[in-house]
Amino acid sequence: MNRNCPFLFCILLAVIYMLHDPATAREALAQTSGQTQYRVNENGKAVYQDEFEFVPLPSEWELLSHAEGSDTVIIFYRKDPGSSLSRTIIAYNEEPYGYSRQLEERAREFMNRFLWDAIMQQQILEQKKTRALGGEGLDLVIEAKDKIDGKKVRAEIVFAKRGERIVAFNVTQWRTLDEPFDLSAFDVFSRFVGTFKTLKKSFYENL
Amino acid sequence: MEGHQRNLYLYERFNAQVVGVSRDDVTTLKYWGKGLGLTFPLLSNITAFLGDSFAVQTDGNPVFNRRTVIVDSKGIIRYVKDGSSDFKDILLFLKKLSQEGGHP
Repeated sequence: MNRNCPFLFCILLAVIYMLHDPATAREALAQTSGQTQYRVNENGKAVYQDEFEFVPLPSEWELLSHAEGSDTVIIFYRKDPGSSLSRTIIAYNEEPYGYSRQLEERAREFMNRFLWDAIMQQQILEQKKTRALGGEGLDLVIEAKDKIDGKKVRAEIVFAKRGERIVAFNVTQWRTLDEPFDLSAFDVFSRFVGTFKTLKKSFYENL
Repeated sequence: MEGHQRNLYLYERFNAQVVGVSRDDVTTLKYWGKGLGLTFPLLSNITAFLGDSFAVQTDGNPVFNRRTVIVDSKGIIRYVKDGSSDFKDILLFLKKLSQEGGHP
């Protein structure tokens, strides 16, 4: 901040702050605005809000979306066989937890908040560089367990750059402790990430 | 708040400074801000006079109502919006204000 600059604006924020963030799967679903449609173009690709293009997910995946403030979030939901807990969510999030514009640092910040209100012990199984949105990315695979509630989750998060900012794709699969994970959902996720393109510049790139 | 932290580099481009105000005490804000990694100032106003000034203090309510206010370099309130911050709206407004030189 250049304090000698001629124009100094101040944003005053009166805050009732909730130590709560609606990004866990359960809460995200609770805030969904219902099923959202996308159009399929002549190449068989899904086009969402004329801004994003990707290969459509298999029919058992329901497309949901919700507005988290002014952020773009695309969510696919699949109810899995087994217990009522069994489900998988694939999402694209324009404003993942954290604030850094560096991939590794953002991943560290993200992990401080991811599954925060589920109060689960997380373990990063794998962290590797990858490609996403036509540029460099960072891929994390994690698992977490809650032995008291008897549930577990496996997730993969791919951080990518859109302009100056970091965006994230993630797949989150919930199971009871005695149910196996279905890794085929992670293949669907990889295909989603691999085919995902932006069709125009983001709000922030145009600002 | 994390959204404001994400946008600090853009606020800087528009010569803006973000400040958070709360009725929480200094110690609470210190740990809360640290937990979120916030680097911009958080002001503790336990006596709530700022809440009265900005009309966000409801009688009997121990916390401020959430409101975003943009004050220009002359101290004139240029933007007021209640509820959760609309970051894109804020950035567009700051851009506009910056382009017009901060004057009404």
